[in-house]
Amino acid sequence: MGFRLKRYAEKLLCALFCGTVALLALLFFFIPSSEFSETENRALKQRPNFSAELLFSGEYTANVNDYFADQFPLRNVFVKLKGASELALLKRENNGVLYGRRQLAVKEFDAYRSRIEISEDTDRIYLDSTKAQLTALHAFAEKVDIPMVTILPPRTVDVFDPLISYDRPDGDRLFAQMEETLPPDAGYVDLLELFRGKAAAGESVYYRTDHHWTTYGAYNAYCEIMRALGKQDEIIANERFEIEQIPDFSGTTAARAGVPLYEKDVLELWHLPDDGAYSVVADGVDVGGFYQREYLNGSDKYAAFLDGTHNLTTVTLEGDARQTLLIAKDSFANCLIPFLARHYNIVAVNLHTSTDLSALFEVYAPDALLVVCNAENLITTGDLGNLR
Amino acid sequence: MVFSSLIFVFAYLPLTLLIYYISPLKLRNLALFALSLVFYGWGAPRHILVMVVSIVSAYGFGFGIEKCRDSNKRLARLFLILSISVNLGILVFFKYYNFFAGTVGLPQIAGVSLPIGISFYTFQILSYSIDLYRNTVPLSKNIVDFGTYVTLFPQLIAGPIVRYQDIREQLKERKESVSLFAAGVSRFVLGLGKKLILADGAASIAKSLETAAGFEPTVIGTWLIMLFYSFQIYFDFSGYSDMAIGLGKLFGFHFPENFNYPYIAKSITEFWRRWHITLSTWFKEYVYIPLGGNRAGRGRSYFNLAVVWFLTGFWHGADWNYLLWGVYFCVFLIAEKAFLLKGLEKRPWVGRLYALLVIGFGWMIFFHNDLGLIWQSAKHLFGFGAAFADASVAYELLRVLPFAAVCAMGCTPLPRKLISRIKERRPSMEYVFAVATMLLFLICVAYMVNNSFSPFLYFIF
Repeated sequence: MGFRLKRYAEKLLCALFCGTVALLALLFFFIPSSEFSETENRALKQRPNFSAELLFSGEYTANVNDYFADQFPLRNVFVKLKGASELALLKRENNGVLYGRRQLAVKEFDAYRSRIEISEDTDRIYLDSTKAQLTALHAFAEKVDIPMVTILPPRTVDVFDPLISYDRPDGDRLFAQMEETLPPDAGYVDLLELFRGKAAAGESVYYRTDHHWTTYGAYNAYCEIMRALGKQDEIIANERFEIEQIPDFSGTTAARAGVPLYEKDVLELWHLPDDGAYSVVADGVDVGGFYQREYLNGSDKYAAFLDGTHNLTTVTLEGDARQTLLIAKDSFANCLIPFLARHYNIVAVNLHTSTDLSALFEVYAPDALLVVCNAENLITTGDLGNLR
Repeated sequence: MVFSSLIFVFAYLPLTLLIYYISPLKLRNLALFALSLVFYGWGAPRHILVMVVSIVSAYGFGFGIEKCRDSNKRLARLFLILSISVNLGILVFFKYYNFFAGTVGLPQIAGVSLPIGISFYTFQILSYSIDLYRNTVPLSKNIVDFGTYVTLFPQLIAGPIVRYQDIREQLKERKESVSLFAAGVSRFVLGLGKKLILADGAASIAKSLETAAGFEPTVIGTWLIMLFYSFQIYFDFSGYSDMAIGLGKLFGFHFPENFNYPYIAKSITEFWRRWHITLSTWFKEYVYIPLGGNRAGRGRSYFNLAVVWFLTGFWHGADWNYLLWGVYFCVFLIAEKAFLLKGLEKRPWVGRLYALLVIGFGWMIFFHNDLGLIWQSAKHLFGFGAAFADASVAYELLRVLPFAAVCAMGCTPLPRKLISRIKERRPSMEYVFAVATMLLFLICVAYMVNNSFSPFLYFIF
């Protein structure tokens, strides 16, 4: 009896294994590749090109591996399954996303963005090059005698630090290190304590499901920047804005966390009554204002600010002559720029692409220079070096 | 190609199984040989050439050894030495030349990359030549069979080191069956789980602990790093062996076991009987015993041990820390042989604790190729130059404890015993375990699809 049962069970296992492997393999080969992952908000790898050269360098096979992982059938289901498995092992993290203290109350699960790995070497390298780059930027500003302001938006995990039940001093250490390496004349404005205080008071300055700050967070940064530029009298009070709330925002952090056990965020669009007619041009195309509502129905809702990330974005207002603010920025500035644009014409260059700064200075003759670079980008990429 | 990749599980493996099982019996070895070369060449096709030179030379010199063995011992020995020189020469060139050159100040050769698995298959080839010379195995006349033996993809990149005598008959005749196939699937999935869930999990925890230690070293943190290194390398290596043995079964092969719960050993002597068994066996058979083993007096046997452990350390990588690692174990093995072993066997728990500590610190040497860093870790373990704990280590400790408990359980025979007892009492549970195996497989697929960190440890071997 037992023996026969064992035989059946063996056959069952062989059949299930071969069936599953064959099915998934066939699905992979017959389902057409998708271009973009809505949930993860990133372009997916396509079938790699083949050449003998690529094959012998090992690049082809590496590309095939990535292609396989990105186009694997039921990818989203598997991403969730892995998240669930990591949750079950009580590791409190998945793909660098920390689960917050209320994780056990399933509905109030918090996802915090990436505790990044800082290996001693790379972190030194990037911080040191950061210093050189900011010094070079300052030299540009000094040459034409304009003020410079640098803000380094903290990572979500730094801002929420006091709220996580277990104390994690890495954020403090990181910022202490960054401040130490910043050149003294970069006009650095510290936002960490301000944001921490607000987060501790329960104000929503950063999203929980996305790595960016909220519009309210950006408003606070705007106030600090205006003070640093000596224009504190011109700050527009937040009561004057009409706030439109877009529910069900679930961003990059949530996609990485894998487990769908979190409350979604609310994304806010701040409108000013009697606003001027701003012309927003992204890479040569007029995108029709600060907010592009078509993105609000998709998964990449954050792209509704200034049409997402572009290499060069300008904002101008017809009428009186205004000062020009040159912004070297990453995506954190996208929801910040509408506030600043009420006072300045804006020329914003993306840090991800290499840009000839001296040409920009010549063409636009800016009156002030602002650097907006998220702390994570700063230490994990060499993006600041793209400005020359 | 590595086993724990989607391309292997969902493209290479099904195609290979399909081609293998539709091939007529006579062509099955040829199919395996050709497909194994594809497996090997994936990623670095140039290295196929190196391997072919190894195979052809050992195969060719085999005829010389066989022919002269009885008539002209000297010539036979010459052929053996030639075969060993060519194969060891290739290994030494690729693996050790730049290290030696760097040490003695000769010019280094740029662009020499280590063919993957070369240390494993070279040892397999050597076992054939030596055994043939000793007349313990017959000549392999068929180059396809011999090539299949060397390249057989399941054991190619990370062992077990299969001696020709272990597998010779299976190359000629083996019986694939549903029962064996099912056992192979279970074993493969088990190995996949060990690698992807436990080893990679432990690796990423060890890495984040190191990051924290980079800011502020702590005593607790250093002990945790040691613990997770131990988990990482055991589950990684034994996971690969499980996958290899399981894959072998899918094609009707029975490979020797490579790990036997090494962390429950009561002494270092016992540990090395349980850890990477096929490597220890190889060194015993082809180095220790030919040198005289322990039959030639105490002093000589210590010398022999020292030679073996110098080589064992070096086999793992061309760097000082691997050498130190070998010497480190040698010291404990000699001490045990001289006086320690009897006492340890009388007090098994003391023995286990002692063994775990020695092994754990051994991994600190293994993973750090900077002697200063090793010395620093040793100091930190005992509180010199490090705080006892800090907040970030407290957080890590809290979050890794459940996972560490799972890992610790996985290092003991308890889960296996439990499962076989359940199966004995309730035969119908066989179905449950079949389904559970599939569930584990799907979870492994999830880890491959959404992989954030999966180091491959055997590039240096």
